[in-house]
Amino acid sequence: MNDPVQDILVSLRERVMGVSETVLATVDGLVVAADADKTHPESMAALASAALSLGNRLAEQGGTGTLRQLTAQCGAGHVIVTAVGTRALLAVVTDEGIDGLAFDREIPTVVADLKKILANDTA
Amino acid sequence: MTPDAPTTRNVPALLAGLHTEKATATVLVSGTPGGAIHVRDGMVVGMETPGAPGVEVLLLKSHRIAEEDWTAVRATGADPARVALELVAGGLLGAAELEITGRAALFDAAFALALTSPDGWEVTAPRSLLDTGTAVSPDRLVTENARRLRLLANERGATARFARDRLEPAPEARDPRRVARLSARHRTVLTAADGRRTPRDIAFTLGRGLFAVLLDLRDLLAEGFLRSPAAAPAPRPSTAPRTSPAATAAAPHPTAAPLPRRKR
Amino acid sequence: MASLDTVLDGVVGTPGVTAAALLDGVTGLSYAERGEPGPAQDAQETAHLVSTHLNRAGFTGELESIVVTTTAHHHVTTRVERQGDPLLLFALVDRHRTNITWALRDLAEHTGRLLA
Repeated sequence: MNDPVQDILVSLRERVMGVSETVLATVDGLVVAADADKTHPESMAALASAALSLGNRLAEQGGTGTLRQLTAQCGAGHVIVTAVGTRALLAVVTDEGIDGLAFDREIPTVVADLKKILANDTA
Repeated sequence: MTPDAPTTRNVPALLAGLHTEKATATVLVSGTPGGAIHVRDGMVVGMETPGAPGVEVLLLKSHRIAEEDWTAVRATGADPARVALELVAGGLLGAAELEITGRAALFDAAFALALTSPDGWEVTAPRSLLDTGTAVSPDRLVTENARRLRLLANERGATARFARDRLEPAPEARDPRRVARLSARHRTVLTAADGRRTPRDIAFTLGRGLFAVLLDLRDLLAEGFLRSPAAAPAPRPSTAPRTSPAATAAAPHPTAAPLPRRKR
Repeated sequence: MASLDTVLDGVVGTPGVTAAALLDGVTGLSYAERGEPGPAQDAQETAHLVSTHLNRAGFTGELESIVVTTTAHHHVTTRVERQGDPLLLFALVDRHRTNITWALRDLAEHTGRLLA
């Protein structure tokens, strides 16, 4: 029986060209699920959680409303962190050829689906 | 935006029309993948698509140009379209070499786009692109794509599926003597084919063309070094239940830790 | 610095060379052509076929050149090394105007300087 969370992560990688790795984590940096091979999910989760906190504070400081997404644009790809509800986050590693349009189109549904599953989770 | 001409039935027909009109425009193609086709005076001068590495990736990933040199030229505030030309002017890259890279990238992008049918397209005002001195007529792109399909499989659907296949090492790949006999180029592709990457991913990783990588993958498949994942289904490692310990130390895929409790 | 349309000037200026083409060594894409190098279209596929068979037979180096001789011509395909995927230089050599030894020597001089 496949884990539906894992399926969502793998499906994102299969549907959007350029997505290499994904890590779903709690806001305090613990791995919930990962579709990863070259990055270390635990380290990525911890860093993404810290980045999201900083991002939130930047937004607060900048008076720019709620943080939607934090992107580290690098020479050979991006690392994109998106909040999943208030208690989780999704970190996505991409290569330089990321299909940005497809990513922007798919990510809201991915976040919504993950939120639903995680909401059923809590005790 | 351009007035609506009688609607064309596909992108090649559109490009042929733009060629006749000697138009200057950018065609935005939507699809999986989509892309942008740059036309100047009817000639196709560049293409960008998530489906194939562009000139910058080809130059940087192959280490033909160091990232510092690229960044240094960008930092001078020169027109981004002229970065490659500035590298030529600075003696870091040959003009012929740049044109070869530009041509290779253009035909590669055309090939990647031709593998799937677009959802739609839009002709817009010309957008900026990296100048490489390349200009190709649309019909040349069509004949070259036909040649490429013939080389691979003769059939677009099969080629499109092959281009999405996440090939993985076959038992032959564990024989060091046989691997040592491969060319350096084939060995590099073999290493990159880890069962996770598609040919397009491998192309981006290595900074080589999609079509070139497909040809090398086909060689490796034929010689028994690679196989299609469908041929050897591995059970997906379980990421459930909370009670079982992480008995997956040897699993190639990381498993999820048991879902953490939310209550504090 | 040579640009793509002048890159084959030296090659076709060589005695006996009536046509030439610069091809991608992996994809066979033609980057430049002079004269009517018709047979060039198969040059890369031929080189690939030969490489594959040599490799199966245990040969481990890189294929450097192939010469196919017909009644009137030598079809000479030479590997041009560079950083990245190799190129192939195809030259159609008229047997009545030069012999293969001279042709190979002249062509070798040019391949080194092709992209300089």
